[in-house]
Amino acid sequence: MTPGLRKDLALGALAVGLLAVVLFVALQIGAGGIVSLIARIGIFALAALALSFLVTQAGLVSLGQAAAVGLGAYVTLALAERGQSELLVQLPLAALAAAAFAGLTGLVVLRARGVAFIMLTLAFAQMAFFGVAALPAFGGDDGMALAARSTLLGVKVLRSEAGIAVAALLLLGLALAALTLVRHARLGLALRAAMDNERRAEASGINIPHVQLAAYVACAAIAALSGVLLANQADYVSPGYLNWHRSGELLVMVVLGGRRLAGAVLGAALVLVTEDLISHYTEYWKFWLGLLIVAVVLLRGRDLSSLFGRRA
Amino acid sequence: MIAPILSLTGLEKHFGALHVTRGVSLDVFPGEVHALIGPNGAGKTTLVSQIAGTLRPDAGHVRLAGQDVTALSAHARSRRGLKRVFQISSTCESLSALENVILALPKFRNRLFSRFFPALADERLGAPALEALANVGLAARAEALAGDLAYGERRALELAMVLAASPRVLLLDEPMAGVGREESRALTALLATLKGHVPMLLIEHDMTAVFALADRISVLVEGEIILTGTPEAVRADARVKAAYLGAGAA
Ligand SMILES: Nc1ncnc2c1ncn2[C@@H]1O[C@H](COP(=O)(O)OP(=O)(O)O)[C@@H](O)[C@H]1O
Ligand SMILES: [Mg+2]
Repeated sequence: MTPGLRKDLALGALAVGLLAVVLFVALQIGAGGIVSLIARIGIFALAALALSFLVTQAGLVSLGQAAAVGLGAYVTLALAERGQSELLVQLPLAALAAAAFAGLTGLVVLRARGVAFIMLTLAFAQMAFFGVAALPAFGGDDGMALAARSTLLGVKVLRSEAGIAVAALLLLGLALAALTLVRHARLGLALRAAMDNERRAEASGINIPHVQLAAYVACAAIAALSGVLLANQADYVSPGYLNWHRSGELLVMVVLGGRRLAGAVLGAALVLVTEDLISHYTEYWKFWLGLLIVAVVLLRGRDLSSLFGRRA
Repeated sequence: MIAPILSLTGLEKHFGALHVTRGVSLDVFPGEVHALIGPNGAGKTTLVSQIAGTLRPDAGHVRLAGQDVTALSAHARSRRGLKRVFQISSTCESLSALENVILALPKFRNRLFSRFFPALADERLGAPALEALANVGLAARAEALAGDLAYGERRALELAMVLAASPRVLLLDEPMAGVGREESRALTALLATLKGHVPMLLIEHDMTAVFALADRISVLVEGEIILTGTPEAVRADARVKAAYLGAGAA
């Protein structure tokens, strides 16, 4: 244990713990809207966290993260159609499908850097979007209702919003702890070195394509888990889950969250709470969110690395 | 006869119409400090890049301990013990000095995908890395970010990084460039302690350092090696005086 690791773990525990406390209170006072909101925050924070790892720890600004989330949702839909609603089957298969997609596309996108990398991740995600939209078995463009909510060992744990919220926070906590450990482990250090100075990292003998592909695949797998929960919360899966503006929204959460992994939880909460609060009063909530982003970016500085909160 | 640890044969490199490496053959023997001197633009850095694997030669071969590594990537060559110090200082500036050295340890890569213990708390990494920093006089700066180090300190850090990797051959591209007189003397003294143990290809403009360290010197002019010999022979050569050292240097 190092001081840096202890601090990051503490921040993570604080972020997830706060959500848990709010959830507990909301359940006590029967505030159903807040329970739903916490469930959504947990689900999106999980996907944003995976993206945040790529962006802040590996310098890989992906605009295709929604593809992984959506693939997870489609695996859930397909399995439920076949009568398989067990989470212990759905979660690993969803992760596997997204990992396979990321593994194949990663071989191509990781050859690119900068804007080319962003555009390639976007292009592959759009291909996945049109791919699922072309599947008549799953409702094509329209998508399709989930046949049944997922179960854990046969128990319908996701039947209520509270169940989904608890599951989301559990997965979020586990993923945050795991990625925090990786950040401080050898792999995380190798990724940060490659992000900082590729030539130096390579001269030190680090196989940059290997370590980056590992990160790319692992983060897609984690994002897919959030897709399983998303499908359950909406009881519906559609190609819209893979749409590029969803990826953009996740990237906004990452930018708002800053350079620490736990920040992704904060970013997701900021976006979703803003949406929830302001959309009560005005349908132009995205305008106010835009204003918030502008403020954060101006406060952080002007270059891309400080935008994502990298130590420079 | 002893086999060379690093052997270049017939290297050729063009940048468009520019012929920067012309049939370069050169050997570095075990324990030898082989200096490469030549005017700016002679193609020294380009040659080092071809040896390290960041540039592909158009023709010719690079052999490390008898093995042809011409087709290997830079990181694969690094893993075989070919370590480079760049002409332009190259560290990971957002990482601490200690983290930079840890990254360079051969042990670091061993269990990259299976060991999730914090790297900084791992004694098997921390202890040798701190020792390497102490050897170059940077022990007190271990926690400082590489980007916050003075230029001379950063050069010392780079040396600590390559030395921590127990190199089989060191490629040093102007390690003294841009550092002050005092620091230059300290670096020369440090390299002198490695002489005889670690074979080096040393590119350097500081002639005091070159003549203090080199066993043999090769002179590169316009991409071609015009002479290889002992420091005495090179110092006495008329072409070298004309092309490089200048009239007053002999
Ligand atoms: N990537 C490149 N593309 C085109 N020309 C280059 C490139 N790198 C170096 N050169 C040219 O090759 C020549 C040799 O450069 P270099 O190897 O850096 O010389 P030295 O290290 O001896 O000063 C110079 O004329 C330089 O401008
Ligand atoms: Mg040079």
